Amino acid sequence: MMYPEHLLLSSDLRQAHLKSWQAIGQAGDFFTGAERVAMVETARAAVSCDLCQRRKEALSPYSISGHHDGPQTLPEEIVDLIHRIRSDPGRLTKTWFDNVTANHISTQQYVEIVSVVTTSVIIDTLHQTLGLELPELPEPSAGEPRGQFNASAVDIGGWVPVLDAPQDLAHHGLPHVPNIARSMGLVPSAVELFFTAFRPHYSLSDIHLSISQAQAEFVAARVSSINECFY
Amino acid sequence: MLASLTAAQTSTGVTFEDELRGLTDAAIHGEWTRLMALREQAKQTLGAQQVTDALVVAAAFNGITRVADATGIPLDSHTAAATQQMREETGIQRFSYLEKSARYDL
Repeated sequence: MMYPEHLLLSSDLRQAHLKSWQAIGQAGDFFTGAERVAMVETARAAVSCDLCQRRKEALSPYSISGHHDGPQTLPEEIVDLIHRIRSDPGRLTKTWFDNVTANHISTQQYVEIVSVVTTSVIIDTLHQTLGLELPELPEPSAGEPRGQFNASAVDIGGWVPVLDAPQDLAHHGLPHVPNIARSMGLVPSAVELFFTAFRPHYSLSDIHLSISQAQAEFVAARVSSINECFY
Repeated sequence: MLASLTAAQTSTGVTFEDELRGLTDAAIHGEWTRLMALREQAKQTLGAQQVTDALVVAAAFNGITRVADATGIPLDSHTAAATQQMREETGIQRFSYLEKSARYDL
């Protein structure tokens, strides 16, 4: 059980977080369970990392080099990209991404890392905002990566190929499958992991929470602004 | 009104906006001690369930904004066309990937 029973969280959310947390500990398509757990551990270290702090204070985060605090079990380039995604996502650039995927990891690996790290951000953030200790890291399972990806992913002008989906509009004015839901479509298991955790938190219409849709959109937009998110 | 999404003081007219802004800002900036106090205050006005649900949304968007930023995902075409003026007025346009590259790439 991840959350005490007295908290006012839905059973859907509790089950989804538990499922996602356990899934992180299992082999994905490009990383082992142990490597995925190390990604979570590395992301947590980014929050208090001295190098990340100095980069945040710099005019450009790419002008400061050095070594990150925290675990170094993953390759240095992966540690660096996890720290950047966790600590300063609003200043990631296409040039940086191109360098990472041209010289260090495949785009498929990149997508899986984004999924694991951002899923853990949701779960850790909820724990912290409710005044809870962070959950213990998932138990890594044995098993090898499956290597499966979506060979039919398409280029729509983002940094990574995405899920091909029709763009007809739903009643809320966005496509039935908005671009954000397509963004990790190169690796279907990455989509599944992230949106399993995300889905009970929010919907574009008829939100199943005690706050109104307008209040939810206000909070969402405020987070987007703080994190300097264009989408 | 929309500028309040990127500014601290102006108002949108959303019910309990001040409480929601305070909770969200403290949550995303990691100000845990302040957040604890704000949670208790907001329970008196919003109610305990609403406070929890506001934080549920904030946590989700702390994750999904990173997905968007790390994948460089473009705006949905209809949104891009419909919000061009609004993005300029609110300052959101400065978060575009092209503008970020111009600012931060060496």
